[in-house]
Amino acid sequence: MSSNVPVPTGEFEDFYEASYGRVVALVAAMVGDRYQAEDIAQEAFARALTRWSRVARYDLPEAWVRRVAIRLTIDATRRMHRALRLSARLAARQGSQARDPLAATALHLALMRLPLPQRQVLVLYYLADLPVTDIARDCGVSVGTVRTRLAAGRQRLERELSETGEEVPRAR
Amino acid sequence: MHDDELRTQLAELVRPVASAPVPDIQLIRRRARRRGARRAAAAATVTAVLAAGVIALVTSLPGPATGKPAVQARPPASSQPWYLAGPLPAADAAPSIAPFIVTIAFQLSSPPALVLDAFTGRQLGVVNSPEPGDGFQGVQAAGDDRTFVLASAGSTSVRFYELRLRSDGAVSFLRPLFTLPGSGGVPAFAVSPDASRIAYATAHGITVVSVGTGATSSWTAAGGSATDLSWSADQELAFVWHSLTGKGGVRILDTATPAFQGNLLAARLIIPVPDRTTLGDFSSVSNTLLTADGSLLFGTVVTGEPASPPADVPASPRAEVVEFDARTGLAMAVVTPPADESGLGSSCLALWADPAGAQLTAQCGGGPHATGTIDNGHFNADELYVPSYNFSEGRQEFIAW
Repeated sequence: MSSNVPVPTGEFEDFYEASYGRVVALVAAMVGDRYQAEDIAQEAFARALTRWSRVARYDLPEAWVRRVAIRLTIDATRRMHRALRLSARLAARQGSQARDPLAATALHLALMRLPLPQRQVLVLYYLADLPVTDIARDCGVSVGTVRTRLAAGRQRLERELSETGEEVPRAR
Repeated sequence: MHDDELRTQLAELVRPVASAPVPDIQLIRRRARRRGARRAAAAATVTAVLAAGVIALVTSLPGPATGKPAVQARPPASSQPWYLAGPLPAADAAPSIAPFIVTIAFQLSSPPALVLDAFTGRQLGVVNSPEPGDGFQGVQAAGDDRTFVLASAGSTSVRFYELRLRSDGAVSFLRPLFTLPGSGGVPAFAVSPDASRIAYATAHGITVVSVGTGATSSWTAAGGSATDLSWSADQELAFVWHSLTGKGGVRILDTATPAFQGNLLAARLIIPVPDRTTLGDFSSVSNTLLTADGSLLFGTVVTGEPASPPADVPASPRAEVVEFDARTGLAMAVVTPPADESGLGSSCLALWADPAGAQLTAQCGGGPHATGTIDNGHFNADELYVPSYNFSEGRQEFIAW
């Protein structure tokens, strides 16, 4: 699923139709919840819309949206961690209303046990097929950090999957 | 499983999401509009002008309709022409915070209001109450960074004043708005982002004054009191209802809709307090700050304050700023940092938010770097100048930004 595809036209509607699925899929793989992923993706596109005259001039507007979505994903995850004291309330509400986790496959469960930075680079590398240079730019870290996270993420994923008896993906 | 298999499995995992129908673009447009505070401000301006005309028409008719909010004519307090506050910052404006602070100098007798540069602390002006012997006891800000409402309490009355600043922060003028009878001090109050309406708490509810016409509308309820008032640009008013029966919480009143029939408790309850089932260990929500676009509500949430702490174990309550969805009341995030992470203390208070709530200033404890900006959830201690204060006081009692 390559995300660095050219924008069909300069119109926001076309851009939105063409790229929404890719962005929401990436976010879903990172956060593990469809509704939260849709919320984040829609927020990212809304921000793009408010700045469309500028974003449309970029070579890859989708990369801009993806970067915003990644930032929002980090924010959302960090906020969730900070809001531990609110966990009872959040759990009660989310449990009753707005949770739609992705299929509980071993891969998904293992992925969700990874720290978010590692999960992000794995998703961007393996799902979005982005080169590490692009991932570094999207995540705001160095290429070396991306490689480190990629390696650590693979190792951690390996451990998590082995605990569930799944076959282990091997690094390239 | 090789890399390609991992790719395949990942793609399969998210395939239901990726292949789902793309949501209607109107969803995105609506969402973008909510961020478009400029449009909201423009709409609010038009609405305010229309509402002022309608209220003026209504008040010229004999008596209010039964069951509607009580509307009373009140002569304008000043012959000086009234005009709306300036526009809110554009939604796509570069990140910035309001440059001027108006604070009450409680350390002085008959406290004056001081106008300060938020970045340098430089004093730009001193505003004394026109009434001899009176001092200011409350201040609130409109959304344009230059319009403030000050309140002073005398022995028999509470007086409200409008303060306008010039672009350089110097005082343009101070003019009286209206006077309330009473000697109980300044009530909780808030000024709408366009400065067209002022809401204040009464013994039985909330009254909204149209600054342009002097007309008032009241919403009442028995068995409680309202505090921590805060406006959005489209005439929604957030407040904390303290109920004697225990069913309190944060409510949002649509002051533009007559459907509330003057019943304050018909206002939408978005954050019940206390609610052991859904609120965990929340013991209070205070100092609420509704964003001008009406999408977010920030409030100081006190946790770790057990109802009956063991005598030998000191309670360690923490007061953190939490971001709530203003429509659902869902707690989105604790936006101020934990004390052990920031070293700023555990008592935090939201002071100002931009129209969309992406930028927020907050103060945590005291000392240098206690004030910072919160940019999309990230707290950064900044060199902002905010006078020290007693955290037990609400925001309106000492500062407006």
